Amino acid sequence: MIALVVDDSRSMRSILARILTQLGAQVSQAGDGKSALALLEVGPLPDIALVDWHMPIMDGLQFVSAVRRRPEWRPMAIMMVSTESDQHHIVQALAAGANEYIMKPFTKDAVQEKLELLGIAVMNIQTKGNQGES
Amino acid sequence: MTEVLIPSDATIVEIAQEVWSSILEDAGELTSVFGFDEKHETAVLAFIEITGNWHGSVRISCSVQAAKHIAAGMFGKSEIDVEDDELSDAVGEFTNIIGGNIKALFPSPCNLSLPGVAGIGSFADNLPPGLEDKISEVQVVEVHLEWEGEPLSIGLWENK
Amino acid sequence: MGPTTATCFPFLRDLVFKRSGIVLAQDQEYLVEARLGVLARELGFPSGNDLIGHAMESSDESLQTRLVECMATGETSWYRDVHPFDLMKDLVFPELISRKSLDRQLAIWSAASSTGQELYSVAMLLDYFFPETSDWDLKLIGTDLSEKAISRAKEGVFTALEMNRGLPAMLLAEYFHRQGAKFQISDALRKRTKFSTLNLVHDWLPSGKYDLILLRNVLIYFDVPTKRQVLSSIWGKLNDGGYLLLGSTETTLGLAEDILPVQSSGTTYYQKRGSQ
Ligand SMILES: C[S@@+](CC[C@H](N)C(=O)[O-])C[C@H]1O[C@@H](n2cnc3c(N)ncnc32)[C@H](O)[C@@H]1O
Repeated sequence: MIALVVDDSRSMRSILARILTQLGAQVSQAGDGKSALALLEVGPLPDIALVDWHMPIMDGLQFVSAVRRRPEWRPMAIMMVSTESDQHHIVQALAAGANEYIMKPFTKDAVQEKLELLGIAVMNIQTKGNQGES
Repeated sequence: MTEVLIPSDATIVEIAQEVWSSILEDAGELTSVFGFDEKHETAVLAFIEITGNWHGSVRISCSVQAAKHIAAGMFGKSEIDVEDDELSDAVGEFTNIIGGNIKALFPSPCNLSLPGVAGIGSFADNLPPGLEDKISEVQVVEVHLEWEGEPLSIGLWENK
Repeated sequence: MGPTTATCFPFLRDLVFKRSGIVLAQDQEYLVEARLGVLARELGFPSGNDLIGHAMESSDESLQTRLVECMATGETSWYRDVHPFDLMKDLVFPELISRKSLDRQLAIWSAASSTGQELYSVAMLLDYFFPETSDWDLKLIGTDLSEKAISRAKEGVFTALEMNRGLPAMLLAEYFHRQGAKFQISDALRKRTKFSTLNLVHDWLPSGKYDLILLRNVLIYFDVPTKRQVLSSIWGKLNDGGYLLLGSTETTLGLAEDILPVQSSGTTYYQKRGSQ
């Protein structure tokens, strides 16, 4: 799995990248929508982009719309990762072309379950934290 | 503006604990306390503004050690390796997430600003650097929390 | 000196086993503080062991119930494991709906429902993908040992962290409304479902028969004789042609030779044939 994390906060990118790596992903990162688009131009196309909403330069919603205007980028799933949890925000993101939505804060299980929902194969390389049940 | 209900202390504490334990692996417990003793006078101060059906700010202050713990947890590194810019990025994002969850308690629409980290100041400072223009805000909620003796407080300030 | 783990843990293990069939292994002592610590402090005891010590002496019925509840793992999520829900969407419901198009009724039972995510997931799936069943006689019941879990399920209020756990965003937007920092499931779905407490090991099972029973992630906590007993009584509650779904790590193999697994949609199900 190849994943792209787009968030203006380095610490949040670091959390997501760590979780995704543990789930078997190769992760690249961008700090705003515009530099994420630049990464997509270069390729290869990630299986999924995890995208924050509020970012300087180009926000997450603009990024989603821009990606969905390009047919060759269709296969990439997009999941918004945001502190916005109003339903109208979620509807707006889905309407723009996002496939899933996760609210901050989240746990590793939540990221894994959302990837499974999207049919993205995950591989639990490292089980840290409260994985599984006892 | 419609009449809005100010969230209770308990709700703010619950949000803080939820954010704390989910973004930091092996975080340790963040517990609610009544106040801090004298030894904690300096703190990392961060804030985020809410506008819309409610207008004011969420202000977070915590000891440098608590801030390092947050940054270390988020960056997945040891506390001694945390750089200054990582510290402010992490505290900023922590504030952003808490602010977003507090915003959700108010009737929409409300908007959240990007977080600001005012750097090191004093717990006693009601007006940390960067917030001078918020002189008219009054504090409506204040909760004190502690992680391994290190303080973290969250205030809700309303712009009336 | 207060009560020690050496005396408290065996008492707790016995109590939990007798009441629920749940087997706590010797090496799960660490769970005592993790699970009972909060309750202990809430009731004014310094530690989990002190609370157990009190329970040993007082034989307080409601306290014992709460101890058992706390030791039962309630971990759950929406659309758990995804595949079983794909199976319902692609195979189970299309087949049931066409077979039952005349009597227009369906009975579904989530038999260890925890806080309700499992049953509500089924209810949303039916409503969303099979709107033709909206005027059917739908019986959607959820039962669990834990009173606390059942009262939360009835309320249908979930934290943002719980909402994040496997719930498709589209369904969040469609079926929930905000309640402060939390989310509540729609009144329509709450009215369509019914939750009550039920102990699978000791209680009489609900009357009537079911077209689909979810008995997921609960057998794993039982010993072999209890697994056999629960499995066979649940199997007896299925209509002919009815479906049984277990958790992804559970199986009837070695427990009930006549209940045969069928693989489909990346998961396993069990279907009762006329003769069984
Ligand atoms: C891990 S949860 C599974 C929830 C849900 N079925 C799922 O798969 O996500 C297990 C549930 O089984 C319940 N349970 C344990 N022993 C039980 C018994 N003897 N009778 C009824 N419920 C029981 C627990 O209270 C707990 O809520």
